[in-house]
Amino acid sequence: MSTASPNTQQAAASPALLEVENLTVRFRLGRQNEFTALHGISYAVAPNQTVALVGESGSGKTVSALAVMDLLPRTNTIITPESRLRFNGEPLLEESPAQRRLRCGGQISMIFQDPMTSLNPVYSVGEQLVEILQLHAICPTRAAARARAIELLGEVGIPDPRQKVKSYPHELSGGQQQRVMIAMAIACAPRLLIADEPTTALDVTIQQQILELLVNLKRSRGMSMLFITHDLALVREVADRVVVMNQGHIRESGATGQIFEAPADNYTRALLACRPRIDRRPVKLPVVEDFMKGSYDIDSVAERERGVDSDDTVVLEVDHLRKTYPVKTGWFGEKQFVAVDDVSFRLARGKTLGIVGESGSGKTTLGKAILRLHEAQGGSVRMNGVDLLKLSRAEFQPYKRQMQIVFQNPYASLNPRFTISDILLEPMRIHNLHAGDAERIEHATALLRQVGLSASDLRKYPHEFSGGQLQRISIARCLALKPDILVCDEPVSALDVSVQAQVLNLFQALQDEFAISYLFISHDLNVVKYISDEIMVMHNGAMVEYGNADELYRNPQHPYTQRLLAAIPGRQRHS
Amino acid sequence: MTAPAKSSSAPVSEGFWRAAGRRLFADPLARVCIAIVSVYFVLAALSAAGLIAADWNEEYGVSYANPWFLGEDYPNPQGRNSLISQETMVIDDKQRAVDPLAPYYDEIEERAMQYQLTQRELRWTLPLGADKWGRDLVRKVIKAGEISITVGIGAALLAVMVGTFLGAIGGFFGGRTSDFLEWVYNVFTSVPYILLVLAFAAVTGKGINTIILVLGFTGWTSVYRLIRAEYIKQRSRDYVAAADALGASSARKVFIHILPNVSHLSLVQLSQLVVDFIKAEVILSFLGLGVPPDSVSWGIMINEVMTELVLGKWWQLATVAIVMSVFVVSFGLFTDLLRDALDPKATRR
Repeated sequence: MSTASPNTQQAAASPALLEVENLTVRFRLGRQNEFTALHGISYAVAPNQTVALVGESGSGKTVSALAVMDLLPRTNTIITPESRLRFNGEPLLEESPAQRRLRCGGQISMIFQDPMTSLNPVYSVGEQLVEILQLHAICPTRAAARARAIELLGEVGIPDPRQKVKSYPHELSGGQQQRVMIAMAIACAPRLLIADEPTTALDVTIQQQILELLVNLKRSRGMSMLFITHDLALVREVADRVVVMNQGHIRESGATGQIFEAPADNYTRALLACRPRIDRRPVKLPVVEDFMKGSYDIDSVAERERGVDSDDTVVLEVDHLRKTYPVKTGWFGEKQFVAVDDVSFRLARGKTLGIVGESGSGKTTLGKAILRLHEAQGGSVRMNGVDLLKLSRAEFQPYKRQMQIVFQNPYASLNPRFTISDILLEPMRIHNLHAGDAERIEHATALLRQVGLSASDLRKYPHEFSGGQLQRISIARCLALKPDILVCDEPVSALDVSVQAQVLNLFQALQDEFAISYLFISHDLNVVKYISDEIMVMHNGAMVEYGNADELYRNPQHPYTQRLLAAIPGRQRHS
Repeated sequence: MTAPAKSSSAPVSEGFWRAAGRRLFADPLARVCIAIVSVYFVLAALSAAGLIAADWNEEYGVSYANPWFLGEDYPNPQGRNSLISQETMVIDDKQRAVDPLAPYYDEIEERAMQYQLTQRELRWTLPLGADKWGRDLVRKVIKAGEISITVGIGAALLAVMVGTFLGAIGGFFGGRTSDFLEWVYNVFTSVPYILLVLAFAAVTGKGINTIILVLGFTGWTSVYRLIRAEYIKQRSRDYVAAADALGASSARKVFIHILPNVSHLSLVQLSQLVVDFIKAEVILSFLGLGVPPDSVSWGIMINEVMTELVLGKWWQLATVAIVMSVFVVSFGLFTDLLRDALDPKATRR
């Protein structure tokens, strides 16, 4: 690696708190099968330093952290003898499991991606904090531990900690849960905090607050931090050094400024470029392959013009749509929870309407209500003048052909017991398209080619594909019906950055070719900006702003929209 | 271009069942269990086809003939060493004087000669011994196995079909349908199981088919519960919503989309119920409500043992207990391993 010299300089200046040297981790998968997750990686974390491990899924970034924490399953993990892990100069790999466990929580602690599953749902947050404090003998008595727990909750910015200490995880919001996790992690004053995707499961605005909290805590407590994430843009604001990983290898490591200003490695360059940016809209997004082949000039690609004119043909008219859920209150009471409230919009042929909002804003419910996957309680959805909500099931059947949906999680939306051929032929069989199965198979093959897969994939099962390929297959399934409207419910959120770009390019190519209209639901403001002609911002079920994409981003009117746009990671430096 | 699925030479993809089968066969214990269970099934099939053990009901040995390994001289009132007691009676004048039937003895014997049948020479010992009526225990236990396994599998199939169907309907549709099925379920489970079976058996009378029906229609509840819960979980999955968006009918969603995703649970339930029902049949036969007296099952054999044990004739009990335990244990182990193989996440040990 070309970046070895700054690394050694740093180590000479101050002895590293954590040194990972030549770490190779293998997993036993079967009797003979082995999978090498890490190929001899080395990095170091100095005191008071934040190091970011950045990589896509399967890059081994989390495995290296788990190896430091001794959390890898003992039964099938092999850490090769050449590997060295030193914490504060002491070799970790030579210690007994009991010694390792004592370090966990005490000197090294970790926070995980999903706070909801990391907290025990049957104990109050106070009890969980007290348990840690007593386990590591920080506080001698229960009362002292309780008082300390309240202090800690205050420190991580939970409002009214005296009351909240008694609450259970489900009574807290996602952001507050993550704050509690952070409180637990810092309870024993660790010297190293490992944060594994701490903000990925959170909404944009909350993400920003948690990041600030982590940075402040690190500064005030003099901790070191190992920050693991897939999002390179996020890292810029928190990290001193960045380590870019790919498939168990370190591609590049260096100071944050150098990585962002002058990336040496093609993969790093690709990661930086293939995220859609808020200020640019190329005709085609660059993908990792473009960079791996050699130099690729982003600025050479033309910009795409977007926006809706008044003379575009309208294919879908939604007026005053309302969707409520009954919520039980007490034993007998019931009240209506309004998930979507008075939403109206027009969708033009061949255009994209982006729907933006945080979790719980009703954007997914809106999409499903339009497709009648959920029953709406009011308003109308009109296509060619016919109100779809008033039709009977049988009358609605032909309209299902014209509106299709792509779900967020491609692993869940394809039936695991069906072959790809079953999956692609089914819609044609249900709607009786084409004469006979031979013709349908021919069409399915053509569809697969269109989304970038090959005919031999027809006989495979979903588990043999990667997430990005599966999302292509679910797009092909929708295309089998030649729909006019495609509802895309967070279609790229579950995908890796580089795959995201490929799928977005596919969406764009299909729109250019077939003039399909998209209803593109996403919490990712960069992605929505890239793909949308118009944008609707939703907040608590209501539509707060609706207009042409460029105008809305340039000049947001509603305070909520302004807050949302301000929270985009890395925005300050770009503009 | 046309029919590319047939012309392409790509290796055939491993489906769910094929992968599960491979995982199952990778385990040596599973291979042993499958071998043992197959031997039982083959014997049961041959017996059902009348190729073996068709003559189980005939007298092959003396009453309670000893098993081979005990030999002819094992103390046994009916053994060869007890021949003294069977010495022919000498009829002399003294006898004639006190016996009023004595003048007719010749005539009786003459008449009896007319009915003399070719009789098999009864053995003193048989491989595993004989029961009270001198029937060969090897043949008897094979025939009994045929009946017991038929009852177990038949009843389990019935119970799983009923349970899966009702569970699928109740779990998928919810609402009134589910309420009604829950009500039926609660009625069935609120009555003590054995009482329910006895009531059914008392009404429908004896017979193998009756037992299958009785066990099947009382044993579906656990399957129903499990499948219903699974359908409730699966019906909100994205792939079902996707099928809905494609315009698939409810029947298609229930039986073509979701059923393959829960069928492994039904399969595991099936194999568990086979063992349960074989045991239930034993209990029923023991209580006298099981298989009719002119046929035999493992339960009937155990029932007969009661009176024999007092006489010290333990070999029928030993035979049926060993044969049945080996089957139940290996089938049960097979079930466990099958469940592990069907759920790859559970196999990490």
